[in-house]
Amino acid sequence: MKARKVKKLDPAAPLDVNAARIVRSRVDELRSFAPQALEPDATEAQHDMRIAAKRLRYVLEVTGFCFGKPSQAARSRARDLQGLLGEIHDCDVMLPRVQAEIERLRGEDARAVLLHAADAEDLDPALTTHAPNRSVYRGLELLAVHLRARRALLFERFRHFWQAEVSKGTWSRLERALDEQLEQRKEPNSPPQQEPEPAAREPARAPSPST
Amino acid sequence: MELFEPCFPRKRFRAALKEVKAIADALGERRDRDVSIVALKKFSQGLEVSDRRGVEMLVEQLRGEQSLANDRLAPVVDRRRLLDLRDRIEELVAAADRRAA
Repeated sequence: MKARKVKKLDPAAPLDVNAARIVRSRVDELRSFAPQALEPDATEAQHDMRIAAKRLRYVLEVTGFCFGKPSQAARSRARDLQGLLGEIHDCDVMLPRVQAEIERLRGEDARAVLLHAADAEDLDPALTTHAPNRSVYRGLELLAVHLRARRALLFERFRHFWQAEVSKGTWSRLERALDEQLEQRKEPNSPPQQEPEPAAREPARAPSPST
Repeated sequence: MELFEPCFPRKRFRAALKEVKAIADALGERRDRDVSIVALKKFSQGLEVSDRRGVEMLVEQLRGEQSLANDRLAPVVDRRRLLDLRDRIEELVAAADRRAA
């Protein structure tokens, strides 16, 4: 998935302004996949959402210190999301592979059994004992069962995780911090705000999130 | 790198980014197999011994792919090629500094 182009980037502008625009774009991108990715079979949207989470995480690792605590929480949750969706993706990649392997072995065995039948009028069921892969299927079938069940479990975890983070306001708090940052920079001569949030007070000096 | 894209001369930036992506892709190809092999081995250990053969066959296939991925990775992480990339990135940074000055 190609990253969305970030508009209004200005090399002459301060880091926090450009970073706010980039992070904002990456949060929008992440959130845009949510409705579709929350459908169990939407493998492509889930994969794209993982990439979007990865991009958000990395940009926050570099610039998160500009936006205080909301960025630390969002970075950490983006990392969790990336991991969870990555595990789902691993199941999505492995399951068809296992099924294709079972199908390949079936074809190989059918050919071997047929060879043993020679020119018999009908196929003797006992000839299946000549199937060279007859002891292989069970493990692969169990693997397919495992992958399917694990995917279902991980998907439920992902769904709960996403809903919980939306409810907690993880992304909207970050968006507010970004918007506040952009707003402050727009009016450099405006009087200082009353009781600003600690995260927005001195964003450029906020401690870098631990890695 | 993409984060600071507007600071760099476009054409040279694109070329360097392409190289970095090629390295990341080749490493990712290799790493994907490592991860799959570890997961399959762990799963196999939970099976009865008589049921393990199919999964072990799959692991063997992945090992073959791992070896191919290694062959593809080797030229990409060749020392001279990496040093050349480092030089190109340093030139990009210098160009960005000159623009900013």
